[in-house]
Amino acid sequence: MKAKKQAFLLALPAGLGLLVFFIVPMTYILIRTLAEDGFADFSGFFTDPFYLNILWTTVRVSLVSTAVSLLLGYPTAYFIARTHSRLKSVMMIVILFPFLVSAVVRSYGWIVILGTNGLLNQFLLGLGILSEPLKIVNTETAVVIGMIHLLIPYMILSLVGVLQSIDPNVEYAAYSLGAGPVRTFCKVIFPLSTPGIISGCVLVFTMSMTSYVTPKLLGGSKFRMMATMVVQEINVNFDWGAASAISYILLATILAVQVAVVLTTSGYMKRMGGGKNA
Amino acid sequence: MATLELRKLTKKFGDFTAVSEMDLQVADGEMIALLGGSGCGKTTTLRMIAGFTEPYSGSILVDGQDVSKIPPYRRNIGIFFQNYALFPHMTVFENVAFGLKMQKLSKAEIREKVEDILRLVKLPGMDNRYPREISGGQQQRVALARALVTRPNILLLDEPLSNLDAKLRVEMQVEIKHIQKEVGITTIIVTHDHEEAVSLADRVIVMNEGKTLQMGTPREVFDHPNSAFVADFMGFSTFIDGILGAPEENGLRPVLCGGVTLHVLESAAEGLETGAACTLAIRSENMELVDGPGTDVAAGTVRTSTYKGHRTRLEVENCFPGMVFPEVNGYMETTGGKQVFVRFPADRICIYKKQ
Amino acid sequence: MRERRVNWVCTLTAVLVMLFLLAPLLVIILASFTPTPLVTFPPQGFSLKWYANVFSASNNFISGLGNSLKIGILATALDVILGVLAALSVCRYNFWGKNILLNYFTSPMYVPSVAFAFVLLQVYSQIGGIPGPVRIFIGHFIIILPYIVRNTVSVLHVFNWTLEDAASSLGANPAKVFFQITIPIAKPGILAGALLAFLYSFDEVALSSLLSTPKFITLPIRIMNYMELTFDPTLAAISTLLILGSLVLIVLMEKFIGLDMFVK
Repeated sequence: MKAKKQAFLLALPAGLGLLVFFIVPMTYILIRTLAEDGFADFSGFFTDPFYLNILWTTVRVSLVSTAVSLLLGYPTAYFIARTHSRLKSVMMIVILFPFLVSAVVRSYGWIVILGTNGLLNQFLLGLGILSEPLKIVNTETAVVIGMIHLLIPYMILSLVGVLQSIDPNVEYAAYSLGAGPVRTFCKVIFPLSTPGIISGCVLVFTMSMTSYVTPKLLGGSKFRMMATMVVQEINVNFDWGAASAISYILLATILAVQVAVVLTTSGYMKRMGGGKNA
Repeated sequence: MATLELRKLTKKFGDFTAVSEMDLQVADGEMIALLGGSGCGKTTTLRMIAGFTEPYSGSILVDGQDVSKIPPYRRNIGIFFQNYALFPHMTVFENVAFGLKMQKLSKAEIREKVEDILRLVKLPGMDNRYPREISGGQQQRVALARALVTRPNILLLDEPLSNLDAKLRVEMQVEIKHIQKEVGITTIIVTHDHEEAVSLADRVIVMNEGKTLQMGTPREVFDHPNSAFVADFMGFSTFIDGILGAPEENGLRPVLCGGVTLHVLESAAEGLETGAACTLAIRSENMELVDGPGTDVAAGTVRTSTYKGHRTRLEVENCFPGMVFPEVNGYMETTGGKQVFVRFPADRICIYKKQ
Repeated sequence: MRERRVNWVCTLTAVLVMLFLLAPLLVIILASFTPTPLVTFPPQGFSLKWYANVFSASNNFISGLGNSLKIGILATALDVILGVLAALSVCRYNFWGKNILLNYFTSPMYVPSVAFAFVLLQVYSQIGGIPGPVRIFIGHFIIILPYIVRNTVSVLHVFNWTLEDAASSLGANPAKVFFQITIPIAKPGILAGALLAFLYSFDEVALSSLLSTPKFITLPIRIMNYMELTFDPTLAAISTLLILGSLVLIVLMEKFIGLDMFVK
């Protein structure tokens, strides 16, 4: 079939590039690691409370950040989706703008605000509300705040996309059948926005799990998450075995989440596709 | 201007045969219609003539030359697409000029030809508009202009009238026919609408399942479909089963349909044996309502009536097993259950061997 | 038509979220003008000395910027070619395994950049002799590819392929069809993807810090190093310059292709 040949040729450059520089190295190193050390590093990871704590911290921070992003992001996305054009452009710029600014810059900004000598403490001390500065930077709280700041735009975009694609007539139909705004939201809008919620949460959770800059800058050297630990093991401890284990466990966790989500929602998503959005 | 010939043209998709050994000859300047329901193979045939799909076997000859191996951008065929396929990022002028640009004509020539063709399709002055800024009817004319301006050998029209509302459809029917005759271009129309085919084409080819069922002038196909299937497709509404009798002296043959005897012309029943089980077909507008019983008349009761403005269509039962659907001019007052007498003129009945 | 009014909860949340998003950025911009090494509010004066410091050679910010731009532009350019072709292969044709192929093209998105960086590090140390810029370039061009593929696919998904047939019937050979019809119409998606890809590369830290060599360091890492050694408002100055750069880019995007592209 001529078409198949054309498709193959078009796919070839990217396909080859990915194969040579991505698939092959990843598989080769995985095999080599397993061949040389077996599962020693992995069992080392899972039997050491120090490492398990890092994994749990990473998961905890990610879950909290995802939840808060969803909680704050949904009403914001709803507002944007329902608002009229001129304001919408401005809001979209405000949303997209931080997301185009480096995580390094943003973390710096939060340090200036939340630091021991930062603006927040100056404000609270100056007004006499506190006698001692709050220690926020170099704790998990700062990391979560920084994380949410990083992730909310992604969540909002995902939700705005799905909310805008809901046929407005569906809402009017619900009203005409006697459902008030709250009921319509709970029984119509919210369920229809579920695909966006799921994809937004998965995206944000994954980004948080693998995030490096924010935990490093806002968490300080004693605060460890999976990604920062990998770099530390390589550059500071020279323990490549540990670094391997952590990387692959992180990778496996993320893939597991993706697979779990796909498996549990694919049937659900198929049913959701109806009416104008089909 | 060119002749087109298809010889044993076949297209298969895996095991499925979309077009089966199609033979067709189109004379220079002729307009023919490929008519059929979805999946009958008409669009696939069109795509093969255009060069978008390669035939499985058989050949396509334009002016006697086999073009099957020539890619579409070298075939010089003008195509009108069902969804118009106007380039959204180009103005009307740029859309129409595109083919001329490909032919590397000078700017002045292009401008002249584009303006001429826009005048022909009655769209002067639209040059700088974008497709999204003009109406559906106007988009359709731009698409037609774009297909014609390069003076192709053959014009292919894919469902040219299907996206138009009723009034525009009638207008465009006249225009397309007029333009085609004026330019004199060999044209192939693909449609599922028998009215469209009959009103536009010099010859109609009815297709089903990749094969040609009937080929003839619009009148032939419309008044004398060669099978019950084609009759149904061409809009015959009423089908009655019966047993064919022996020829009588007046050139008619009787058909026994339940308790009623109808007649058909001997010429219509040629080749059918006495005693054969047959199906009769007749159009709504060819049945008549009469005052009382008589020859070729069956009695029945009205189940529903639908007023269509110029005519009223009746659903009548109890004449025969199944319903008959006579139409009368203007408005007819009926109550459910009203008794009517329906006459079936012998010269309006088509008869087929029962499948 | 009933007008849709949004309730006050949503409006309030939206406003608070906007403020939250802008807060650190506004603070940075203000802080960049403070005359004191410590950022105070209210600011005690106005000074541009931190901006001058940005351009001082000893800080290597400019060389870092140069390195980041080189990698970013080259990787994006390469990936636009690879990614657009890949997106075409998956969107224009129908074949079994189409979705699997698409997932393959976007697979780097699912791998944490530290994990991939570490793998590359091990491969590089086994092969040896790979120059700094190349080490980072390889990592970047792989991880930013999914952005371009995804955005191009999203435009091509709604592309009317009959337009290509129409152009072909009018005499355009496949190359002309591609450059005069397909690409111009797909441009918004391609540009949006290219912008996201470039910015991702420009701001990328984890992979770059593992793979950089002393002679080739990118800008974000320079900034982080400075943050650890000297924490002063020079950081605010360079941050403000970067914020300005992003603002210019996004305003240009809005003018040329609108922002709908980013709303998936």
